[in-house]
Amino acid sequence: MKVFCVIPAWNEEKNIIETINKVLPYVDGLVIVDDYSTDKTAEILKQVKNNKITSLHHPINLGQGAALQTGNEYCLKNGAEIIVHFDADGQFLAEEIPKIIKPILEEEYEIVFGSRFMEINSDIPKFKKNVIHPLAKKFNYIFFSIKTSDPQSGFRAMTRNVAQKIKIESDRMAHCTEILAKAFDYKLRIKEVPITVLYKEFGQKFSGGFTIIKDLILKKIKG
Amino acid sequence: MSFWMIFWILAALIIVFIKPIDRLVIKLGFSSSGINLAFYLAVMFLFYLIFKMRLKISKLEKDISNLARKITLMEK
Repeated sequence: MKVFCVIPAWNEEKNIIETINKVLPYVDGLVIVDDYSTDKTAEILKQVKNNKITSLHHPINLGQGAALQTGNEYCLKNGAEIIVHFDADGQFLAEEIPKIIKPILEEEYEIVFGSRFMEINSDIPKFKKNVIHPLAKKFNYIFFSIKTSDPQSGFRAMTRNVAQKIKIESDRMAHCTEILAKAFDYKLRIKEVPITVLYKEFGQKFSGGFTIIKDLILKKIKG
Repeated sequence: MSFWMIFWILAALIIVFIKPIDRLVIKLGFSSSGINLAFYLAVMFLFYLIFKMRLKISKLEKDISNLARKITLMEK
């Protein structure tokens, strides 16, 4: 099956080449979506010459959700059968891509989410692990009936059909919850697999959580 | 345009007829004056307007995203 990986990138001049080199051996196609970076990310990507690698460039900054949707649409147009979402910043391990697509290839699951809270002990900051994530999980369950162990992981894989069904409408960071909510809503065959996350100083700010909640509530009101 | 014309006309009428409105408000059993009632209604109306604008902005943001995506994919 043709496996494509979408990597949304914003100001990742320091990490993008390393991430590309790590991911490329595991996929048939790699799509990097530059979300109007203000550093040298775009210039670096334009110099990459490889048949398997495509870089797309947003004309304005739209957000990670929007970048993933752009990547999805490109992958669908170009014959992808499995689409993997992978962060540009080096927090995920490319070696775990086979693990995340395995349930789709061998067990007919339709969408697989990587979870930071199963088995492997990732080095998650204590406040995130003990306060933010449990609250996010409760919020997801109460409002969207989402029953997964990780409410916000960005490492996921889906079949072509699922990518066609789930159109990501949340441009910014609420897309994680949106994808989960739609997967449960459409009663897809969902699987979670444990993944490793290497935490660095970055990652979402606390205030980002409020923006997510606001975006999700606004969506619910609009219907 | 006609919405705002009606709005300003209504506002002018409320100011001109504030005393009769006062009497009506007391008759209806409210403890506040006509002016206060006008303020409360104005604030409620403002909240409604802001909410509508928020929804409109949300729709515009979505349209912008879709356009930007079309441009991005057209370039490939």
